[in-house]
Parts: sequence; structure tokens; C-alpha cells
Amino acid sequence: MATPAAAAAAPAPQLEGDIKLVSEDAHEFVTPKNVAAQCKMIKTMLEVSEEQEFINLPNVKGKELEKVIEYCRYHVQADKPDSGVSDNDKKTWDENFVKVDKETLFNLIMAANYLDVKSLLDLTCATVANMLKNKTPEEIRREFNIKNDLTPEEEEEIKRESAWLYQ
Amino acid sequence: MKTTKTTKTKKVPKEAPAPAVIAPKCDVHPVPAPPPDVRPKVLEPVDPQAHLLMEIIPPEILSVICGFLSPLDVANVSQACRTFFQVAWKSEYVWHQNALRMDLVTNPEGKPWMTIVRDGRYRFLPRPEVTISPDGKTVTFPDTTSYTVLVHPPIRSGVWRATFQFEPHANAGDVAIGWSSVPTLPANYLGNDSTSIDWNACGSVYGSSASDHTASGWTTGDEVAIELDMNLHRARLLKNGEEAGKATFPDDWNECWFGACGHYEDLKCRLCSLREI
Repeated sequence: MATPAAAAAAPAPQLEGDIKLVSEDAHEFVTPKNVAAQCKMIKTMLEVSEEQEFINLPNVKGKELEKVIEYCRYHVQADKPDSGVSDNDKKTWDENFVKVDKETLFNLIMAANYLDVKSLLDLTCATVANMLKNKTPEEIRREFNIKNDLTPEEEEEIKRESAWLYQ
Repeated sequence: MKTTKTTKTKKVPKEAPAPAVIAPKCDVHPVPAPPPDVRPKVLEPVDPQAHLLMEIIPPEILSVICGFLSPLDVANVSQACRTFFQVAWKSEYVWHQNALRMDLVTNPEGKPWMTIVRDGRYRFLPRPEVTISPDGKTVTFPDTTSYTVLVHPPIRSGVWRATFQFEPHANAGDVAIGWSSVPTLPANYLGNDSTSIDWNACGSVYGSSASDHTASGWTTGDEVAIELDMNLHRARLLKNGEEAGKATFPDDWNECWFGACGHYEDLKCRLCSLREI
């Protein structure tokens, strides 16, 4: 069993050079490994086999994969301590990044979850959450084309349990 | 009426121009306006892609989304449909996220996180003269003069019990807990006016609006509580869970803020709990 010191001395995985990422619909993206490694899932695959030339990503379509790479590429640069990019600039960039149609946004959530990019998952989920804020149940149904399928018992339960929020 | 029958039975040649026939009929029998449509309007979805939320996103990620919502938004979204009811209202993850945002990081008794959030949202209202802990539950008083610190939000109905504990010393008349009918007290001290009532460590109930009151004293380490019945406008005073006094307050006090007051160096008051009975 490796001691902590031995573990610390283990060589860091090489993240130099490029890797080809292949989407579900066969789009190919040649990406710097340090950018691709922002996706924890890809980072793990790179660590397992450093020599591989491409990685198939069967659960992500080209359109979303391109967006994920764009996000990772920006943050690899912007998050460097000497990048000169302020937190406000990054926030503004993120806000503009998620100004997409709902289908793209939902697919981005799934891609971020599959590729394990926590900051992107949080960003996209928070964006959907913003669409749900300050709305009545009826407005939420309209916004997301949802039918009210709550049983009378469930409606009664939530009304009773949530009374403290409407006092 | 005759005219009506005549018009109705009159044969109109097929080749007759339509306006010539319709015009006189309209003059004789104006078509009543259709009754207003009183059926509830069915709102069209604002975005044809909207339904994809439920089709693409699995429940566990819907919970992550709802984890960004405030308790009130969680309640609203949960009343939209059964899926949201399950992934939001019934989700420990969602309530835990809310608890973390409120600095409610511990749950030693393993209560549902919604209960922690519901009870934990009560906190001392900040004021510049005193120091309030980040979780809003402990106030440190200055040693110069007494200040009252009220608990937010107020209660308006039902029976609610607020429990406090003072340390390191609480054995004087100007260390007290109480309740106020207004959010801003005219005096620094609870019970010094007609809008508030207090119960001090020496065992006295003060406040010109209090009636029918009795009380015994309390000291450092005692868990002292005030239980307000907003329906009957009666208060129970409790020391370590046992009844230690009572009071009645005016019927027109429709909302009440619990509060604590005192001074002395390093005097702290902890809001142990505030819950509906």
C-alpha cells in the first residue's frame, strides 16, 4: 500500500498534446488535453491510457460537445491566476454562454453531467432554476408545458406542509 | 312576431344575391351577441421546446436544479406537477441545499432537512449595536447599555414556542426575554412600553399591555421559553420545559416578534429553537 508520501511523489499524468473527441453523431474535435481534462470523465480516461489518440463520447452530440469544449477552453485560460480576467468578467461570460434555446440548455445539462464538469452543471442547472423562480405553479406549468397531475391528496399534503412559507 | 314568421317562411330564390336576403333579416332579427366565454383560459406554453425539461432531464438532476431554489420557490414549483413534488418538495437534497445557504450545517438529531430549514429560518434581526453569529442564532450584547434583539420573522397564527438560553450569567432584572407587537421598539428595552412584554431573570413580567400574569425567576443555563397562543392571546412562560408563569396580551396584537435583551460584558443569548406547537 502506498504511503501518502509515495502517492504524492507519483508522476502527474501528462496532459500535453491534443486528443480527438468523437461525439455520438460522429463529429470530431481535436482538443488540447488540458482543456479536455476539465471534464473529469475524460481526465480519468486520459490517466488510464495516455497513449490513446481519440475518445468516443457516445452520449454527447456534436453541438453540445462543441459548447462544452468552448466552456472548458475559456475557463482553462480565464481561471489562471495571471489571466487578468476578473470574476465579474467570468460571470458575464458565463451568463452569455448559457443564453441558448431550451433544448440546447437541457442537452448541455446532460452533457455536463455525463462528462462530469461540475461548474458547468451548476451553471446550467442554476440557469433553469432562474426560469422557475418567482413564479406561481400555474406560471411554471405554462413555462414548461406541464400538466397538473397531482392527486387531491398530494395537493392537500403540500398545501398543509408549506403553509409556513405563505404566512 | 308576424313579421318574423313571414320572413322565415318566405322562399328565397336560389339565384338571389345573398346580401339582399340577409340584410332585411338582420334588420328584423338582430343576432344577439354571443355570451362571454367564461371558461378558464388555457394558457399556451411560451416555448414549444418547454416540454423537453421533463423528457430529457432525469429526476436526480431536476433535484439539482431545484436545489438552487428558495423554500418558497420550492413550494411553488412542487405544486406544478407530481414530478416536481417528488424531486423538489420530497427531496432531502433540495432542503439540505437550502439549509447550507442558511448556514444550518449541523443536524445532530437527523431531522428532515425541511424541518431544519423551517425552524432555522428564525433568526435574530441584525442591529449595529450587537453582534449576531453567522447562523443568526446567537447574539452577544454590549456591556454599555441594554438592547433588545428581535427574532425574524414574526408569528401571526397558531401556537409558537421560542426557547432561549443565556450565558455566562443571567440573574438580573435587565436580562429578559419577551415579545413585541411591532418590529421596531420605541424603547431599548422589552416591556418598557405598551407595545411589548418581557419576562426577566428575576421573575417579573413587565409591560403595560400584559395582564393576568405570574412568573418565577430563572438563571444562567436555564432553557427559558415563551409560548404564544396567537388565537387566544395567551402566553405560557416555561423554564426547562416546566411552566413557570403566564400572561395575557391584547387581542389586537395580530403579529408578534419574539426577542431578548440585556447587557453585561460577554453576555450571550442563544435562540435554541422556535417551533410551532
